[in-house]
Amino acid sequence: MDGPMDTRETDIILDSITDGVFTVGGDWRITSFNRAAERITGVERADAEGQLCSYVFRASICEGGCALRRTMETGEPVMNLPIYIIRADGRKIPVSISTALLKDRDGAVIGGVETFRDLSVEEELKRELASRASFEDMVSRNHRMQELFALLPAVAESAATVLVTGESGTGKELVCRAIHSLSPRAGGPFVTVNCAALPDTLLESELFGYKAGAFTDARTDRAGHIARADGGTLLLDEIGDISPALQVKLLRFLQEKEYQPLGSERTEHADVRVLTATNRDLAALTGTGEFRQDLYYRINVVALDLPPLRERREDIPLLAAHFIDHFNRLTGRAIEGITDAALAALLEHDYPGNIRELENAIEHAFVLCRGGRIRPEHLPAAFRPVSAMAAGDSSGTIRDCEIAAIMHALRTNGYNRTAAAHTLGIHKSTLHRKIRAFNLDLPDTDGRSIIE
Amino acid sequence: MTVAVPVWDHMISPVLDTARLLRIFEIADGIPGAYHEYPLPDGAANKAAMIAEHAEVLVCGALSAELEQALRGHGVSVHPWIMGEASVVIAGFAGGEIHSLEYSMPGCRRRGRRGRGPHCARHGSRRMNGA
Repeated sequence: MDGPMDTRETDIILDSITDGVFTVGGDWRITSFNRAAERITGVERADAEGQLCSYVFRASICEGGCALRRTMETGEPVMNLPIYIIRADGRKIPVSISTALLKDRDGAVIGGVETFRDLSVEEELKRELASRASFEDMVSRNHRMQELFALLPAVAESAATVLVTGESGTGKELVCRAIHSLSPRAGGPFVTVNCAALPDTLLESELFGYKAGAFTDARTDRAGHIARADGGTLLLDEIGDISPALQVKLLRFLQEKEYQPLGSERTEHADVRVLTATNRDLAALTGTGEFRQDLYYRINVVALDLPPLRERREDIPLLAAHFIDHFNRLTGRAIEGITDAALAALLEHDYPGNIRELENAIEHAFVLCRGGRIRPEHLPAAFRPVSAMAAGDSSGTIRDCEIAAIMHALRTNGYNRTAAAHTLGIHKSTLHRKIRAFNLDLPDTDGRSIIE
Repeated sequence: MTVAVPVWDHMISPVLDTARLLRIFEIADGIPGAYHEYPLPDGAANKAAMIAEHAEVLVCGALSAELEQALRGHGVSVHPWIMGEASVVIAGFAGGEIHSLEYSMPGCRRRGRRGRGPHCARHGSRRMNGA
């Protein structure tokens, strides 16, 4: 093919590709609309050409966040931005868009071009994978968690006492609830007692109940948690924290399914399946005498250990998406997801608080994020990343990432421009140009007086 | 009759689901009166509830099936897939002409063919049936 292509040849090429492509003039009216654009939007070329692009494309970002407008104003392209469009049947179609300037043969800007890819199939596959990664309100692709999910139905079916171990915030209670809901006792009560939350004397009366007059404030008979769990399941959370005296009474209950409320001489019976959970090393505590060995063996019939979140980092994106859906439902909002830079920040964190800490971070982000996707600045300070700038944010905030990188380099070099340029790997004159272009507000000092 | 239209700049917002401003006005004897504007919340449920609180009728651009269902559930009469300058659309609605070709979004029009999509067919009914 010699020489530049004519319009007909260009149309043939554009109509042969599977991505939608349309162009607009300076007045934002559609000047071309390829076959894939027709298919994805449901709008025919003849109806689209000459119309305002926002009324043809009907995208989630048309009002207030138009990527094509940003490109035409700044000259910077946008790459692979995930958004949605609305078809005439009311369906939201997920697409990823890229934009570029449209120039004539002399290089003058005559409009913009937007390409978009239908992500429906990809999103459906993601949903399918996510459903395979979820089990009874728990989500995980981690192999250890998948093995645990596979065990749970059999564990639930049995009447065996279970000991669930793991750091705080790893989901021990969720696992216990799953066991209960899969068990023949699912129709019965599920009662949780936090053994660490109460002093021992109070814990005993809460667990076993009491008769009126058993102690000073006991004015009436009161059923304990064991009685309330009759026919169902009792979870003793933080069982590693109970006193040796209470351990004895608990052991008797586990062995005989019998107990005596405080102040009563009558022995009560309860049909209760007991699950236990702890973040302490009970085996080690039996060695020091803090935990009775016979009780340990009684509760450790089935042992399930939950890995900390830092050992299942592959689950962080899945869990983040899960919590975003959860808080969207809770608040009636429509946060669209999380940017690559924010996800990078989540992936870098160590999570001493495990899944609960991740959930709190997303909840925190919901307070600050007013719409669109969660960005790094919406996350709690402990997640605020420097290295997330290197994640290559493809959400359309490349400019923001550049500004953040420049500011970080300046701050860490005491606003010395020469040193900051060296850190960034650019010439000092380039740094000065970018500071002017981005209109960065810097201290008067240039750092030379700070560095001795 | 109280009518609401989502507006962006001086135009009907292209997508109600992401629209940020709602204009409310009264129509009496076919004449639109003065209007008030309110910010729109996020989320289909919140948006539908807010619109229903202020108006009986909504004239809007594209909207998701979820949002349309929420609005109808609140008893709002919805006229979607409408485009154009807000003041012109409002005058057109007041004059009973809102479903003519000039106000309909591309893809909801007919050029001697059946229109695409059940929503357009329902709300552009005269055109979609061979008119």
